[in-house]
Amino acid sequence: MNVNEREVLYKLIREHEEVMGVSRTTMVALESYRQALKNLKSIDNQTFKDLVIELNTLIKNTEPKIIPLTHLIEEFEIELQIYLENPFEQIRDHALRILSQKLARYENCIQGVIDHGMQVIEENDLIISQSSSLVIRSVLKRAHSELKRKFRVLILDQNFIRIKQLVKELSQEGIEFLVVPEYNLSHLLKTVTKLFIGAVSITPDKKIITTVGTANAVGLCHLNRIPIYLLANSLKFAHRMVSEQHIYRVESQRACDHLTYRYATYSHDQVDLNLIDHVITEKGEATIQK
Amino acid sequence: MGDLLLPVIVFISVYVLISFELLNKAVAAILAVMLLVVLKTTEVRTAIGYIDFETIMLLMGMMAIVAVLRKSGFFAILSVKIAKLTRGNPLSILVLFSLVTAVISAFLDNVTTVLIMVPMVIEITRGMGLDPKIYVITQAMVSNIGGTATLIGDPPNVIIGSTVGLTFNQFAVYLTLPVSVSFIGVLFYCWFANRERFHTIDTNLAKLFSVQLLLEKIEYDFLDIPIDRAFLLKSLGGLGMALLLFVTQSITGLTPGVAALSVAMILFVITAADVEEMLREIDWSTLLFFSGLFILVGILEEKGGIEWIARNIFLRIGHNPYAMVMTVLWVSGIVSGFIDNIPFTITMIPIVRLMLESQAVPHNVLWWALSLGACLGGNLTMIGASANIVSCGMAKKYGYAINFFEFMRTSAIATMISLVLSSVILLAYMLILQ
Repeated sequence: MNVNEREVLYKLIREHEEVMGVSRTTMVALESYRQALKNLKSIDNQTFKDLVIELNTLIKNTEPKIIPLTHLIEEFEIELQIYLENPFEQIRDHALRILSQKLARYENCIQGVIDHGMQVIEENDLIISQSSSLVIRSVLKRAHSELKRKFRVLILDQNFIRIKQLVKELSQEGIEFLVVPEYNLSHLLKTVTKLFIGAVSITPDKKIITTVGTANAVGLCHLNRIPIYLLANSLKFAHRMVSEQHIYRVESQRACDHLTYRYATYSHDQVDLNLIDHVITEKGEATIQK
Repeated sequence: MGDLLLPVIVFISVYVLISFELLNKAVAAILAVMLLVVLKTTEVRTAIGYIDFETIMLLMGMMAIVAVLRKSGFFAILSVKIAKLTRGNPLSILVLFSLVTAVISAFLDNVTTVLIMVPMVIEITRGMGLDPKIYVITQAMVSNIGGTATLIGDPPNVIIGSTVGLTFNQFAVYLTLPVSVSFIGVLFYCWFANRERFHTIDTNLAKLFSVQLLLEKIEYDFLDIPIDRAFLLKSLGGLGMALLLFVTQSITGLTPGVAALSVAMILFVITAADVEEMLREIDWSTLLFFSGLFILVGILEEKGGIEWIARNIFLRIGHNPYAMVMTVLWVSGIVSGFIDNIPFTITMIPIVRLMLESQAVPHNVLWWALSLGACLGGNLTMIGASANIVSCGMAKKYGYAINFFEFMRTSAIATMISLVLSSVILLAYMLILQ
């Protein structure tokens, strides 16, 4: 892949992550890997190995890094290693099988987070969310349908594409919700009882890489002593520091009213893990060493 | 001759106004009619009598059926399915989308077809890091080619079929071959001239992965609308019923206009669609434009203008039927590349009638020549057909501006190929069927 094609792929992954969340993107990516292998024309072993290495390297270096996907691809690489001397068709079959197992494993992780996450919702809660996270959507829906909890949701709108799926699913489920611009949150803080956030990754230097706008909401909620819940499976814990998470940064020259200036945007926020009150994983609530 | 001067001046003015887009087409045509009525060149009743209501009914009916079909989500499902079938192979994208565009255009309006297909083609090609321009140009051209195959595929055919009384089946029988051959010829040329852009990707795992991700995203974006299965089935049933009535016209005795409008009204009732919303989807401006042009050509015919053009231009070529067919085909083909083929066809109908009075041409071949010339000629330039303008407009919206010469670099040779192939087939019809 040349630089242009690589940029196109990374942009595509960012777009997926923005509208579907990290978990769904990870599952779609694993399934796409399987489909790509199925559509791959028969080639010799060495070429196949090179192609797998190329794709794995690309996936592990997306901007930003999709950490659950990175972990699963690393596991896939290790498990595939022992089959690499087999004929092409056999390696492909093993690769497909391993990827299916990774997909199933990830789905189990997500299911675990949802099972524990929905338990924290209480009667008459007013929960803030601004995420496209599949986990948060499922937690809200299942707490309503299975646990019969009566609660409301305050959706913070910064980019409608990101909250579209949440709005759609809450409407379908009949959960009461209100959408407010993210910058108007301060007016509603007295009535809010919880903030739910998702994460792209959690780094060893105690940072959470998360959706743009989350840092502001977390800051406001923390100052107003509103409990903040991070719903994240254990595969989201990264081995590398925040500076190595490849947060996508674009800088451009802007002109407005005869003024020109440099303008920079970042694809994701970083939030201090110390501001989080509860971390819900597939194994239940994790303890944070502050 | 004095009676003729004013209608001719008004008629030429309307052509200039619409060709250079100086005025809205419908406004130009109706304003011209009003001017002739005010100046007592014609009377209101006579003017209304010139309107071919069969054509208007057919167009209105088909526009209403398409409006219901669009609402059903059918086109979104179809385009996503094709995108998935291509598996991101550049050549498959070109061939499969072109095939579907041509087939849909044969039954639906070309502009509607490109409005459905072109965004999907742009999404998939740019998502793969390819330049969408050649794909967009090809879609516009094949929609014009596909539209030529049937009575309802392209406005010139609607006009020819309705005013001359040719049936849906006659169009299908005589035009399927030249249209199919032209389609293959044009597609082959588009591939050959750009063959370095259509490399296969099935040995590149990273690209295959990227394509799969893209297809997932396209599915998510395009199918993110609630699909009402009952509504969808009723809409498809309506389209099927309309096509059945067209094919069985000789048995039922129902003209295509009556069939289309009846089915459209039945669809409004059985789908319980929001009628006001559906009616807003109908292109009233085009229907008004058609009505105005019918009146203008009617007046021109009444005053002897059409006969003058026929005798002094087209009948000068003599009475050789082969020469007549070739003249109508190529003149229509080239003129339609630069001016709107709707007014051109309406103007040509009485001329072709006069040509046929002077020398009979068997099996309506002269009408097929007019149809092929007027429809395929629209591919010659970017302004030759509405589908071209709309496709290029959409490409521009996505950030891929296609200019006049860029379009013509591909379209001029492609049009010549389709006209040459059509010429051969029309001549073969005359030789074999005589």
